[in-house]
Amino acid sequence: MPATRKIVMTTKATPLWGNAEVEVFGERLRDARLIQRLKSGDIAKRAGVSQSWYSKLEHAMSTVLESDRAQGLAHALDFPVGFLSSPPVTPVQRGSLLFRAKKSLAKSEEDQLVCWARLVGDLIHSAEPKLRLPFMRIPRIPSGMPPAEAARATREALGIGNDEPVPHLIRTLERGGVYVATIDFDVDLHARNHDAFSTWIGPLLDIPLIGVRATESWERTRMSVAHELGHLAMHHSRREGDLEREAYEFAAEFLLPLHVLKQEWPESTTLSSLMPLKRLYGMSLASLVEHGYRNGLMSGGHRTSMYKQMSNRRDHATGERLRVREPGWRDREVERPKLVATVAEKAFGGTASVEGLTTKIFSWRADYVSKLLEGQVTDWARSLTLASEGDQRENLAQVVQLRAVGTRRGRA
Amino acid sequence: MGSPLLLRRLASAYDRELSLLHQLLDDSVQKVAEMTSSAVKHPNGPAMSALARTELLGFAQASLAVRRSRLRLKSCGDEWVRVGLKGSEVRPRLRMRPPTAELVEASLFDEATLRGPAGSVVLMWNWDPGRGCLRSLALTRVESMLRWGIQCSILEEIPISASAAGLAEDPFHGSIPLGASNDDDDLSDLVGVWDEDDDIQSERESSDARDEEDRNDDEGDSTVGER
Repeated sequence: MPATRKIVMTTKATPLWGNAEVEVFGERLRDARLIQRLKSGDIAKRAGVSQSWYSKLEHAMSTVLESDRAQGLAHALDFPVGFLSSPPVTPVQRGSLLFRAKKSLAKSEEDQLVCWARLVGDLIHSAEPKLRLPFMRIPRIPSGMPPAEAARATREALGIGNDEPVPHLIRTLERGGVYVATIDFDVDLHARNHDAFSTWIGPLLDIPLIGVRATESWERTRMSVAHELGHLAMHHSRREGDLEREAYEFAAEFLLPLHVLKQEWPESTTLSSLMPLKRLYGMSLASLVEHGYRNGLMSGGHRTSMYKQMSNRRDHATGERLRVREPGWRDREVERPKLVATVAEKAFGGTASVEGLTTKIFSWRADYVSKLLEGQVTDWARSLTLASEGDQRENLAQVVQLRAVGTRRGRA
Repeated sequence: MGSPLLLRRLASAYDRELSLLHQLLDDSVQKVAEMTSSAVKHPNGPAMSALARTELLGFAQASLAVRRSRLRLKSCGDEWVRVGLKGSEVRPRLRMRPPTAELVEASLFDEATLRGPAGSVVLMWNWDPGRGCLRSLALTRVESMLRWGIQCSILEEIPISASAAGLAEDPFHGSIPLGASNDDDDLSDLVGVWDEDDDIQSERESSDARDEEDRNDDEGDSTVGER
């Protein structure tokens, strides 16, 4: 708990008449604001309160407010009051996230990702009492162990053979107790400057979570997930050193161990001669080139030449440069997770709508829950999100109809 | 050269390699069929053969599976492909099946049989122009390769299948490994639901129930304990 945080001791009072009181939690207020990347000043203005007072609310553990006030805040944040008044259960903090991200990742984007991690954490927390969840099998790698060795230890812990490919990385990790959330960050949801993040969720911060931005590239998705796995295994408590380089080395070794790479490396290395390795081990050509170069299988000049070829040549089907869309981009499906949806389905399977599901998970806003489920590939998740989309379309149709009526009246 | 026994032994000892060849050839033929799909007329036999040969050699050169197997493909002259099988002295040629190819009924005591097995070992492939894919691949012993286009008598023929199962077991065949699809694993066994009835039942209740079952067994079956 930061020292600056002001803790307000509160008691709930429910008068027999007049305005009831609601206990609002600072962390929930912040989550509701930050997941939308809004500024506290804007919320204060919308709610008709001073910014300093609103800021105090966010920094307090909880505050008892009159029901009208709480409703006003909920309206300004566009989140249900039920969410604001739910005690926070997922203590993920900013700074605990590790990324495969551009350096331009803004603080607000990081805050937003923390909120997504909390949403998944809340869902797992709500479901946990009803379920036997998978056993976590990610080893805690002692600091100082080289990334390649760490990758080998992790492969072993996950039951992957010495030289076996990993056919479906996300599914392998889910079987090892890692939760994965694929989120399609569109224009409204921002957070476009990252590929993936990882953190630990649950009240004891002992459940690994990987968040991946939804892309159309299976190569990128696999590398991002493997990279985050490296962070989870090696950087649980360590933050010093070149963590990103270590995670890249880990990812390459995890997907394609060096002894296999050496054994299979073609005598004359060309883009086409690397294709079988790409298909079998599920690594991009660019990553294979890097892996080979880093391990002395190809010279610097050769590596540059390969990159130049990829930059100059174009894919016949799409016309895009190979650097943007590598050959073999259609060879595999883009990996998508299903453990989060499976857990939700098993715990709250009777729920027929996303709105119904939100009531079980601390009243998170339905569109965020829907977004989370859209990234999961189970029939249940699909049916729920399709139904939700149908409702939205219906609502939209009604809005359009109302507008049309209004227009006619205006003309008359 | 060749004998029925040799041919069968060859097919059995190199079934993986021949299946791999089937797969590569199918891929090459399909690619050529796709390349020529917009042509007014299907390419005729030799043209198809030449195009497929080029593609096949390209695929084989880039294939990890070929690199790891005992199969080696080399061009032979301008038209042929020689199929090398490491450890075997027989290096059959690969050739498109001529329209004159005809299986000859083996007869006892004819001159050729009395002289001993004769002929050449050839891998013959044929394509299905309608479907644009490989129709067949067979390990054959032909009587003679002279005047091949005019007359081709096949003395023995062993069809080669793609044998996908055999190849799939080998994780090194260079294609996408099994389990790579999102639908391959539904995680149904991974998350369990606490069975409320079992959980509510106390240890004492469980013991009582077990004791009751045991007693019923003893009382119900008079043979228990007799021996």
